[in-house]
Amino acid sequence: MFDPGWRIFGTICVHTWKKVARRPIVLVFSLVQPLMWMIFFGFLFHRYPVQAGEDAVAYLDFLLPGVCVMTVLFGASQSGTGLIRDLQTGFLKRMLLTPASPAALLAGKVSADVVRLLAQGLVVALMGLALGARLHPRFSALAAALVLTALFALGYASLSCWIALKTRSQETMGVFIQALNMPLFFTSTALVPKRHMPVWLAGIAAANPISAVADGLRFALLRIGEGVPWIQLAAGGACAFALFAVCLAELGKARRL
Amino acid sequence: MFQNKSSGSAPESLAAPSAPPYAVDAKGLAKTFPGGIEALEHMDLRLGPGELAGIVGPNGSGKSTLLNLLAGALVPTEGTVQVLGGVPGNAVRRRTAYIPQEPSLDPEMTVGETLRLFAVLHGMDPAEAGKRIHSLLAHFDLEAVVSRRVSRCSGGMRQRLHVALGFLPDSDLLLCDEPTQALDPAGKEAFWQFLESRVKRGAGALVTLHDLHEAAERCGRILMMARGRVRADGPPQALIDRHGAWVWKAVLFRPAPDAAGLRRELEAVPEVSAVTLGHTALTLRMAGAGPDDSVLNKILERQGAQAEVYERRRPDLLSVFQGLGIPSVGGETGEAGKGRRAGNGGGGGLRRRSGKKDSGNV
Repeated sequence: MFDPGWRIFGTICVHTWKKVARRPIVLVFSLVQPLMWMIFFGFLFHRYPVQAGEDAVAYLDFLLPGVCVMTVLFGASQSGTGLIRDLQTGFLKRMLLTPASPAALLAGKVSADVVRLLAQGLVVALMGLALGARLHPRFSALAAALVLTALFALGYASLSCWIALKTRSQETMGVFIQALNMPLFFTSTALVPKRHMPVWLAGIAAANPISAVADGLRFALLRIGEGVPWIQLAAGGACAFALFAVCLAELGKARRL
Repeated sequence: MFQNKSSGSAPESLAAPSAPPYAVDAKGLAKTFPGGIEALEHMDLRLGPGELAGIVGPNGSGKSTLLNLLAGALVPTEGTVQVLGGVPGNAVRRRTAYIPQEPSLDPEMTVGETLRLFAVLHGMDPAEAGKRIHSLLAHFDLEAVVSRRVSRCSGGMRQRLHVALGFLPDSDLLLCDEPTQALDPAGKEAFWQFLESRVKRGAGALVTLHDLHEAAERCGRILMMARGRVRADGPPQALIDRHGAWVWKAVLFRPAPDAAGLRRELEAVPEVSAVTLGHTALTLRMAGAGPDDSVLNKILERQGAQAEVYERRRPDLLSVFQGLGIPSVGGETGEAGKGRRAGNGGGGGLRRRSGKKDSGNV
């Protein structure tokens, strides 16, 4: 017995992936940016002593998980742009006027984006290895790190979709996204460890969700720092689903004016 | 999660003992948009199952707002509305098909993908959906472009696909907003065939149209809207018999030096019921077929005007618009009675809450 809700979820996932595949240039450029960061930052700061002594870590190795998180951050922030296109063509409204549950529509769209972003992160990791990065994965910790990354992508993609539904304009959304992305990224441990930061910045970085994701990946891929605690996973899950619920409520409003 | 609508046919669901007596039952329905723009004013409307009604009226008269309210895309400011016995929205969404005015398609999807996606969104059984999609592709002549992306289809093909999407599910109510506006004759025929077949099986249908001939030919009932209100409602011939008139039109190559004198003399002709006199055009509404051209030409000559008759039209829906004083489609304007200049009653479109009220008769 098929359940139309799951069929809708699956169909929207496939539909979202097809749309991405039909814009190969966008996909390629989303990988070029992390590659440039790894080349320029990785080699520019290759003498930067991230961690000295027996457990010395090359900066490129340290940078790689941070760039993977950056790929997810920037990619998730663009999740709402497709919604704006669908709003402007009236396609979204037409979908919302069918009996399909808005939750299945939104979950399908956002889940497809999360899976795509994790795949993009994997490609970035492979590019990093090709550039000479050395990883020492701890597979037992990888699952928790990936779950946290996925929850972050889910929450941030939901936030992006909420901004899209609120602003209904590519330009306005671009301004909001820029205003969020850059401060979030540069106040995290994606590029520099906390102990090398000024005290005030380290405080911000400790509360930054990108730090949690980057540190979790570093523990799983480089065996430095600490693993993802369960409480962090629970908090990440709560935040991600809260943002999804907020976006879903906004989608409900778009259904009826 | 959802019941599979496609497993039951439209007439069965409407014929069931619990079926509502009306496909649409609206009382005192009103919609005011932000800024105080009144799109719809206290409208009462009942549409039975198996009834096809055409909605005609000038741009901005509230036709699309009405359909959006019935489709659950807008929330009324006042009044109550029942669609298929329920409130527009989730409960009746799976039994209502809505074709919006603008082709609302994803340019990056193919024609076939679009149809398959909406079949899933409507919760259709895959086998049933496959048959329906095949039939729609054939009837709307889209088989050759099934794998083509929407962005690469012509405007006409997009409109065919847009309209075809409305016929995917078996619906008990069809709400179609100017569905034939960009269709060629074959596309129009396919639309009407599908619609009439659904109506014969018991579905109610509301179709907004600008082509009055098409409305009179296809719809058993016409709702004439202006300024957010239904100004006339009934079978086309009944409306024409009640409000229509013969119309006589002439182009003035040389206007009469004394326009008021010409107007007075024309108004004195017993069969002439209304005179619209512009710088280059003269329009008369007449009781019966009116006087012979020679009688009118003599008056024009006497008044020093040079004119050429270009139309003597039988009573039709356009003349009904004029009879009701509604500025109508095709650039012609209404005339409520002798001596009243065209357009004095104000436009037929959107207006603000504090604006002038319609003074025309129904």
